[in-house]
Amino acid sequence: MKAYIDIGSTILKFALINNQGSILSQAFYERSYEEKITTQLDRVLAEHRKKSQIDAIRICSSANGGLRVGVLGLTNTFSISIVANLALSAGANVVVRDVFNELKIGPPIELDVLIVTGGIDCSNMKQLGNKVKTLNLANYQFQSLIYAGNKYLFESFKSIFPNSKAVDNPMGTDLSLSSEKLIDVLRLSYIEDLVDRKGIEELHKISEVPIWPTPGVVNLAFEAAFSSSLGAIYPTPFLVIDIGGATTDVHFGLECLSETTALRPGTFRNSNRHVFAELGVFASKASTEIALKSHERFFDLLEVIYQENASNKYAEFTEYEMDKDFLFVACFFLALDALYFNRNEMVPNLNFSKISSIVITGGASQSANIVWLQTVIDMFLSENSKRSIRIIFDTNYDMWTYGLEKVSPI
Amino acid sequence: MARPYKNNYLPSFDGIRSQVLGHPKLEGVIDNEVREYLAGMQDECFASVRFSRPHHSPYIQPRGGYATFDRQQKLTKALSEAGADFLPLTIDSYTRHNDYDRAQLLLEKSLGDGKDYLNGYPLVNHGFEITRLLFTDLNKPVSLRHGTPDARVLVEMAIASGITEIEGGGISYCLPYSMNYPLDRALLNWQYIDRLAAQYSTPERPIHREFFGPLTGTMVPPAMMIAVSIIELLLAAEQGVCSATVAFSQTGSFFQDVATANVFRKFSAKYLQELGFTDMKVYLAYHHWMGAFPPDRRKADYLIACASLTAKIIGADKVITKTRDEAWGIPSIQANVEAIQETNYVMSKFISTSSLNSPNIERESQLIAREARSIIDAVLDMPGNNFWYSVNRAVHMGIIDIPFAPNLANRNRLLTVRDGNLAIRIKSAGSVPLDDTAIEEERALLQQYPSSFISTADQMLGDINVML
Repeated sequence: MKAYIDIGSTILKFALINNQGSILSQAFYERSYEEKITTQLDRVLAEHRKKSQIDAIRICSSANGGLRVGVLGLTNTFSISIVANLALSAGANVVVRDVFNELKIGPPIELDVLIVTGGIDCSNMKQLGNKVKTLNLANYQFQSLIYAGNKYLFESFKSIFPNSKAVDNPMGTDLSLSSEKLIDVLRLSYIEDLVDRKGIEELHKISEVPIWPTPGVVNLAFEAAFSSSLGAIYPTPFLVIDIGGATTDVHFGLECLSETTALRPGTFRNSNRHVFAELGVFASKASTEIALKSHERFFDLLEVIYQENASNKYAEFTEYEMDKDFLFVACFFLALDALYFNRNEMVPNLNFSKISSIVITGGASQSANIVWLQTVIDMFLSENSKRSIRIIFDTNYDMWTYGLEKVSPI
Repeated sequence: MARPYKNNYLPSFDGIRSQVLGHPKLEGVIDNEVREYLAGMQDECFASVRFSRPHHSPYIQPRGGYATFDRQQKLTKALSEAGADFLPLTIDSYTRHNDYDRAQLLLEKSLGDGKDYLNGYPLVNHGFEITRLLFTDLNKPVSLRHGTPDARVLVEMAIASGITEIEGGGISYCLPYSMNYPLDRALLNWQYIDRLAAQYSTPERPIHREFFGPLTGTMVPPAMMIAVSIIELLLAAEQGVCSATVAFSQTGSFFQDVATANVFRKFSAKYLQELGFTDMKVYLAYHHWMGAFPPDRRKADYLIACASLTAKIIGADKVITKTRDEAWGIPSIQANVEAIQETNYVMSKFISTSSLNSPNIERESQLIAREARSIIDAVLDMPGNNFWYSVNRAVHMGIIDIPFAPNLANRNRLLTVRDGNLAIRIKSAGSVPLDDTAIEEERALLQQYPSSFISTADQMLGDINVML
């Protein structure tokens, strides 16, 4: 048997997996910050080893909010989108997307990785070359610098920033995604980042696979689900939505992208991740509440959820905090609203009539109200197609276990 | 090596099917009821049965689809009375992209305004019960014509409607038809369709599959049309399909068409035999010109006549017609009827008794065979355990490359031009693995029959518009 472990900021999730990849038992432990993570994990493993034989261990981590990545574009459109999209798919947290030498006020932004990108791989790029020579990185404080732009300019970049490393230009010779090497580099950076943090390096030795960020694991499962037995569990095409404490993650396929999306389809992978950084039920609770209360359909949402009690709830929520059950609904509603309407060019615009199901994973799959979420979906569908998108709760954490199963040993 | 093999069925087909049948649009589609309905249909309604019967001239199949049931019914009856051997059901573009909501909206608007706002029949929205009525008593096979990367719901509905020939494939209905749709998912969706066709088949009356060889219909070299169709044929064979048609379109060069037909026949048999799919019956279909059509209706008629003659000479099993209205939009019923009559006239007045050959055709056949073999063998020799996945990788690597296909997965590095004889020549192979002798031969033919264009850009435009 195998033990699959997800180390979160507040919860340590443990699952015992049989040789067929099914979960036999699960347990959840509050993270103890009074002891090293390895000490806590040893204790958890010892407890389970008394009952079962554990032959191998696989670990992923959602602690520390993932790798903090900044994307800096020498050009201002396609490269930034492509690089940010790859970083998100790797499970990283893209905290800033800036354009060349933008004026910033305030202290430098703290990042784990800064990625500089821009241009296709064309040898005659004089303007871009000048930008490299005058590039100013004073706005950022970073641990690692990656160059993922025009390949002919890397030598020049390296001469100015000797500690930088290069990856294949994700855009290649045209304005479309042509290399996903950056994903591997970021996953590796995540491992290095973890190893560097005290107490974590020991984990590396007991896991039979590299420790990936949990969202990257889910994205891997999403990518592989279409060609596996998961495709028989979830009607395809499907979205995966993970409503967490700080963020709401949406994993979506290229085939669901609307033709009216402002983002160029060529900047996407087949399987993508979008992060709503301001939507969550704990750390982002306040921003979720503010966003919902200022939304034009706030009362409509209350009405479909609470029906005749909507007015009372309106009064309650305008004066007091929203409860967790409703916050799941709020995050779900706001995420769907952003994906459905083409309001923000940074959010992919999806065509809902192409979606067959939405898989809810993570904490929401254990405690959100499925009837409420189904009701929210119906708010976005025409009378004709109501109930054509099914909500499925990933109550057994299949996405997570399947993703961890798919991670390859180095 | 990920070679296709017999009974390598799509895993979890039953589970996926129960999900597909759970789609609200498929409410009422019940496997047993569909089987009973198919069992009650006449033999003549099965494309596979029709093909297996002796025929001395290609069967004629028009294209056609209108938004409303009434108009579609008029078209279907008119086509049948005009002598169409196979009846078409062409699907609208929104349904092809699974946007059933918008198809419904425009269907209702079409009904309200008495005017078509869709470019085909929205089968998923009409449903199978009413669609069955379109073909009752006509006793002819119906062919589903679309261009859908995810046609699982559509094909469930089509077979439930009594449609026994399903056109398309994971490559041919994805790369030329969709910019965004991921190829790997399209290939898996079409494995589902192939398996579904096999499951609804009986030994005497299989559900027939047809592969869309013309692809973009624009400057696609014969070897690529052949390679893609043979690969789709093998993918279907893996799922248990046992009756199928490979197809290509008029290239613009008569002797290249004859050579293409020769290689298609030879290679279909060769690869099926070598890989152990000995129970598959394969036929050949020929499409009238699929490129930019002349707006001048007289020229359009000449082009149709030439294509019909070629279909007859190459001994195609079926010819798929175009109309003189092609350059002007969706053809009228009358134009479609006239196309059938014109095609029928040409083919019945020209009696071909023996196969055509010449040194030029022989040279062309050898070249196409060498190139097609290089492409197919490169895919078959790829490492891995799944043939469909090798195909996916082959496209991403540019081994399969379709000129002018809009899909993001397509490399678009293969550059083709016409020589002075209007034959399609490979000017630059990109990553398509052609051997040096084939490349040299292509160059030699280009030099032997030079074109009059000076710049490549001018030549490409001229080549696309060659029939205008």
